[in-house]
Amino acid sequence: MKRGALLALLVGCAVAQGALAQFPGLGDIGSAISKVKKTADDTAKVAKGASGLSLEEEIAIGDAVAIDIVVRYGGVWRDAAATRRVNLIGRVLARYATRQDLEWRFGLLDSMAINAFSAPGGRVFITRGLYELLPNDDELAGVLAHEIMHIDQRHAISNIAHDEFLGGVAGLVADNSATFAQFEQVVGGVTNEILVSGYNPDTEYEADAGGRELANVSAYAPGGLRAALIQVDSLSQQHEEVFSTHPPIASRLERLPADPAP
Amino acid sequence: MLLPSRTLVQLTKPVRFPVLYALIALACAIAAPPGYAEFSKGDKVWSKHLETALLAEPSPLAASGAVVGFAEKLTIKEIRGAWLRVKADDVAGWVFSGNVATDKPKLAPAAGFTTLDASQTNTVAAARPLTPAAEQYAQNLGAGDAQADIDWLDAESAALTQLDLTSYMSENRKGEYRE
Repeated sequence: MKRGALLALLVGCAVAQGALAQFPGLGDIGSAISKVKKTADDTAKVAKGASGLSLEEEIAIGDAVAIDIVVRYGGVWRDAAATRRVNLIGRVLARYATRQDLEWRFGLLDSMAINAFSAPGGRVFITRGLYELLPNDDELAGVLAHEIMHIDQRHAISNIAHDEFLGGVAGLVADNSATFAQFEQVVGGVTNEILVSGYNPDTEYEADAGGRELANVSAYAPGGLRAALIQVDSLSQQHEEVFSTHPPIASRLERLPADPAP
Repeated sequence: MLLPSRTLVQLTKPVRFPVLYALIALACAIAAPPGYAEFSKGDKVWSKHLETALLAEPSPLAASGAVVGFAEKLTIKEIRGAWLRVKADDVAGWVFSGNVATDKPKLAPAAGFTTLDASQTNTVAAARPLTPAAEQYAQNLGAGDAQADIDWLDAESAALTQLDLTSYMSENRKGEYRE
């Protein structure tokens, strides 16, 4: 009897493992939630501790970086319906991000370049070119989740920790009499990393992995980002600027699980 | 060889598979699917929203038995899929695991943006304007248009109410509203 019961339990669990493996959106929800929180929490703790930037300072820098992004990418595309869509999807994702201290905002840039950016403090931008390539919500969610992870994990501001201008930023936000050049220099450094040099590849891969988990927790298809990248890759030969600040798409795809397209 | 020979011999015998055992196996599969093991009974988690409802059942539509505030320590008493039954000091209930943090959050949520549950409001939140430093930055850059663009964007974003978001999630089965 005992052996029979044991066999039944083993078979049942094996069947369940196999069945759930075919539905990644179901089987690894809990795991995804745990992973995304653990990773983001740990990273955030380290980054916060290292940078010592207050939330107010982070937002001030992020707002100025957002100005730079909007200036360099053709302004904001003032399409109310599209803006509502990115905010709905973005806010669902942000609801499960680690950082709830931010007011997350999502916007479209009036540029046909194919790219997306995030500014510290909770502002996420996606170009019109990329947005129009992604009519599928799961794919759009994959891209937005990647950008959210950059903010959630403080990627853009973690390097300010050892920056000599930190004191100037702190002084400026608290007291506007401090020299503005220091603030502008810090903003310029962050903007340059986001818009020109890009994050290092490992940071991007982290954001890919974390974004996939975040999308999964939020009940968007975990394969959304992968599908979006494949779509973008197909255009890379004929388009001037495709994810120019990110690592090669092929290397990103190699590191993402082979989730089915949504 | 994956299995010892003795086991192979046993498997060649007719195997009785009583309904009871099948039910036990099914219960095992439902109760402990892979991937849920990272939350364990007895673990401590923290609420991360301004208000988090502890529900009577593991469903977003269940009645709210209690509401806990930001960064309250919760002990996991039971796990059912992506839902956790948790206990605070003197209240208990179900919470979607996406709504708790594994470490105590330090910075409180921005008011009006992350409140969950019964106090959801249809009131349009006031948009936080650009910080004075960023406004000055835009002015120095001669980027008045960009500043106006961001002001427009912030107003559009703020026009999206908590009720809009909840309705969207419910209709599209997102987050805790997933099927």
